[in-house]
Amino acid sequence: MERKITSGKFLNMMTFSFLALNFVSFSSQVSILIGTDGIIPLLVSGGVMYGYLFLIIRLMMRDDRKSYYEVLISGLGKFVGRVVYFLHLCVIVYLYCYAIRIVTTQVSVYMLPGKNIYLIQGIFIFATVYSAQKGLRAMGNFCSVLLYPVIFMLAFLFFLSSDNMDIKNMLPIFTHGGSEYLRAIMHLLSYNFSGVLCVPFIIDEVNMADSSISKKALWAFLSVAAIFSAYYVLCIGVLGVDTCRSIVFPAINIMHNSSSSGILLNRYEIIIVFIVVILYFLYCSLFLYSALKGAGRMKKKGYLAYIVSFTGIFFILSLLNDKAAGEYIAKMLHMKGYLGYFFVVMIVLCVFLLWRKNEKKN
Amino acid sequence: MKLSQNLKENIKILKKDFSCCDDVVFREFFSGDGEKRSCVLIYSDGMCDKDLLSDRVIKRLIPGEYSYPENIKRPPDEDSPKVSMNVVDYDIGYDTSEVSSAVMAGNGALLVDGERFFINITATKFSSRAISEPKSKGVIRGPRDGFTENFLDSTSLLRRRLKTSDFKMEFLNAGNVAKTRIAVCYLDGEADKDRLSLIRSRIRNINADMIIDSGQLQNIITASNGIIPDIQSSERVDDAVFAINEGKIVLLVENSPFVLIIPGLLLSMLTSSEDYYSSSVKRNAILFLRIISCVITVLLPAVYIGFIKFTPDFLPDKIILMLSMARRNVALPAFIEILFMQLVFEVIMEAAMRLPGQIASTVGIVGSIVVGQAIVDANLVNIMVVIIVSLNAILTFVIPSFELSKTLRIIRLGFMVISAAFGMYGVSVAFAVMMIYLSDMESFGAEFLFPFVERNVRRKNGA
Repeated sequence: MERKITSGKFLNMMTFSFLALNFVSFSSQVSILIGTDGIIPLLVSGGVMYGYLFLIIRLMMRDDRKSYYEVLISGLGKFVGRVVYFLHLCVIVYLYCYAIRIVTTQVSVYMLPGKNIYLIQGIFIFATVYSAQKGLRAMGNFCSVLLYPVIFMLAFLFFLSSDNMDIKNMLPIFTHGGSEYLRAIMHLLSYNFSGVLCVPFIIDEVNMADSSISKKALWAFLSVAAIFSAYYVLCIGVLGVDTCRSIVFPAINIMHNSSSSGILLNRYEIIIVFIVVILYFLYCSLFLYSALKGAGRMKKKGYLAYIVSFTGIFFILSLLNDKAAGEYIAKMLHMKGYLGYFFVVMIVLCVFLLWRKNEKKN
Repeated sequence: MKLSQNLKENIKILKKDFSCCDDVVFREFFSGDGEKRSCVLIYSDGMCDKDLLSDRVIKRLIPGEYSYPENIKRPPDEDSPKVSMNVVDYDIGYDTSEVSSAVMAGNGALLVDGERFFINITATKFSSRAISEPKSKGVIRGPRDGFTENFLDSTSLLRRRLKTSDFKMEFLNAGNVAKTRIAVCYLDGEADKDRLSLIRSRIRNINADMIIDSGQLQNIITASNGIIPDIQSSERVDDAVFAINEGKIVLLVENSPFVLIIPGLLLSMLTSSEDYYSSSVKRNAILFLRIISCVITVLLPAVYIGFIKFTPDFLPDKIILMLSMARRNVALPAFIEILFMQLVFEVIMEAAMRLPGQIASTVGIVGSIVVGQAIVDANLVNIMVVIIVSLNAILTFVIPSFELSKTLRIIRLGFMVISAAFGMYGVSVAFAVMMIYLSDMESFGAEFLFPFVERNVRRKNGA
């Protein structure tokens, strides 16, 4: 049977993964960096993400039968290719561990207060391993079924929470300089749009013959950008910039304090936490699958051992930190720039590889 | 063993084969006015149409002259044959085992002295249930006829609705001992060829002594783990016809009023044949209702346990107040409370199903109202639990497929256990895992969740 998944499923997966990481906390972090101007870096970083996706698709379509590993080796040479590949894998593993830590922290605060966080993490890891073992087809189908209900629920929660929104809180705009914009873009690229980083590892399982893949990717980007922008406006509009900066999970906080509370549930933020768990589940499954598949591509056994040990180290590091969610996330924010720069390096690399391929052809 | 020309020898062998089979009759007679030839007609009493054998075979052969059937090459020195027998459907066999099979199938086996073959006369007739309205799936609007245990009645019900030569019915046998007939029904050009081959090969490779019912066949040829069905079953003729028209394959099993529809997809299990007679708006609204019912029936008890045990503050104040009032004298924890009530309902349902109609309704009323009220009065469970469990029981019956509703009852129990341990977090992770499982599931090469998901390959999905 044909194992490749359709481009529609692939892009549903991407949309799901973009919505996962930092969805409930990004408005706080972005408002710290750039105040009320968050929508502009959101759109720019979304555009950069789309550009990276487009470049990766073009690059892999050139060598239809080659894996990402083989493309890097043939384009950069054996040593540099392996180093880049290995670093990319480490980023994937890091993001997997980070996502698990974040989601379980949210769960331990809102859903299971007082429960052992290691047990919560263990369950989540077990579930993602099961999902990764099922493969990309199952994940693609999962997203196809749940994407529209999730978007509908997010829209529903938005309207339910927007009763106290004051649009004047979004003013003034264009108050920051270029460096602040850059930092905000880097942050958003590092987390909100980090889902695209696993694409090179899985793109060979996607049916590339579908010519509308770029259009569908654009649609995925636009829908994600619209949801992020709406929630950013909601958080700033309801809370104001200063309050938004001081809260770790502004989206949850708004739902907790909404005057609509009691109509549906007393604290209907449980709905968004439920949705976030589902979103993170797919994100982590996808990254774990990419890491395992990526490690398997490296034929030498040593590399697989490195990946396993790195996963272990990152995971132990994430377990060691059992402080409150806010402190933990503040600590993790120190990493934001590095991942954003890695993203930019990967874009440059893709352009370089495409250029080299064109050169070779000519 | 091949038949010999000596009739007495043949009878001796066959009587040995049919020893202690008192229902098998050996009717010996002489045929012809002039040179008489001894004949024997073997049949199983109660399985065949004795009037047909008597009027159309024996009565015509005794005074007349035995003649070769038209499809047998007679020796050139013989006179031209006279066809005395007057039956529509007959066949020729040369083996004693074929005689056994023919007799056991309800046919008459005519052996004539001096011939190395026998004539297999189709005369199957046994008392069977008349075509009636299916009890497992009722409709308000739509045809009332359902399949019966009679194989040919069932095939004719399909043929009556699909009057085209593209509608194919392939008869296969399964069961080493019982040799049960299975009809593979499909529409040529619509059904997926790979799927057809897969089904044929799975039926041919069945290594069981007997197939008594289609449920048994379903368990043998399924690729599912047994919890979630990947084959749909139905007693309704219109269900089968719609399925065939959509490119699916229907398996009709001898002596079973339930047909198997392959592939069994989630959507088709949530669809009733009555939906086809409604407008698309009404159909989709009902379908949406059934999907919501599925979700609620699986999650409601688990959500109740999760909220009560871990996060009661999420509920509106009035509900918390009401629940605390209701639960103030209840000693059992929420999980045990709901598990106990669920168990009581399952037992009542199971008992009601096994009892005759009138007693069943009495048991249902006594069970649900009297026992339910007594349990609440005894403070074993609170009234909210009774409402949840009763609502769940009703929601289960909204789903047209009985197998799917049974599956949901099992899954619901799993969710309840997970919720008792990990609250809403456990429920959300378990839900995600279940969705991944369903997303990965295939039914004979078709995506189980089609059309909610796209097809990976360009081939007919049977839906």
